[in-house]
Amino acid sequence: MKIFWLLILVLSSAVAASAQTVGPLLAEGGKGRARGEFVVTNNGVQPMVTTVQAMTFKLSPQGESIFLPLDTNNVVVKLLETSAKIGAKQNHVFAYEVQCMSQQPCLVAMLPRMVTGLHTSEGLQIGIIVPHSIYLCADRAKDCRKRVRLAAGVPAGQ
Amino acid sequence: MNSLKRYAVIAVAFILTLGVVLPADAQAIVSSTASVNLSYVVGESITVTGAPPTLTFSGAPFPATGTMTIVTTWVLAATRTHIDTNLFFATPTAALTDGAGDNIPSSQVFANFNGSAFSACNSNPAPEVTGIATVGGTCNVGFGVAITSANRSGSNSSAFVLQLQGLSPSLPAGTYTGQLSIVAGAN
Repeated sequence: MKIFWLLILVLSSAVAASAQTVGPLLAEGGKGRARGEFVVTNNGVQPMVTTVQAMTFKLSPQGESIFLPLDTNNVVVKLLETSAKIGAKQNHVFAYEVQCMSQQPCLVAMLPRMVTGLHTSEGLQIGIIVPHSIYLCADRAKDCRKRVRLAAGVPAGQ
Repeated sequence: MNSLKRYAVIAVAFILTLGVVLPADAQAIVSSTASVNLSYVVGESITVTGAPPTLTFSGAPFPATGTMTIVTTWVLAATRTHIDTNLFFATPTAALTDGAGDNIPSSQVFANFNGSAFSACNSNPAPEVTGIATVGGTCNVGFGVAITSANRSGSNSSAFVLQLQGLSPSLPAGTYTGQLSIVAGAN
């Protein structure tokens, strides 16, 4: 009987446990345009629904990202998909194209929100968000993030 | 003249013989060193483990959830300086709702962190996730870790419990549901 309850406990733990991975966390682009992708991995044993929202962000002098609604006057974001249902132990590639209409660098974040199950009948549904940040420079892509951080007043190494 | 020719033939034959034999006795021929460039890209990633699909409240007088242990694992580049997580409600005025206009605001949802004191989920988010986590709807229980050369790959395990406090006695019976978000970001 004890083994039965232990088995139930182990199985319920397996069902409850979930893990979500997002990578890469950073992309750099040059000439005001970038095509890229990020991967969302469902390490769990239940299907996971992911919805992606694009936001603009700026940097504080301390290097912190301050997220803002997407600046559609200066940035055009094309997401191939804005949502996906990812099966157990599967991953999904979200591809995007970002165009910066400004001569200033454009900073865009893709925010995948990952939930297990579509609805909850009671209590709180838990969602996980891990940002994928895109640094888009008007000139070259190399060291775009580094240059943007310097321009924002972030001390090197911080 | 004939003997001279004979000697010449013998000499040529000897040289030819040497030509055949000598390479076999010569030093080994060593090719120039070929090199192959190796590269292995370790991409940055953040993994959040342990979040249950849902949390339900039970008990009295302060209904509480079970313990939610969130493990955040990261692999970050040398240029990163900080990683933070926050828990938040997108709509602070209606953290939970019955769908009929009766709401439980985030100020009545309390959270604790690794057994510490409970605090209301009506704080402002950490700077790293400002704009994602909601102003006035964030639980003051996230963790923040400075990234150094010692922990560019690392993990953090944090245990959270949510509790309802100060519910209005006039709150009608019903099933209240909501969405809690956990955001993990690195700078």
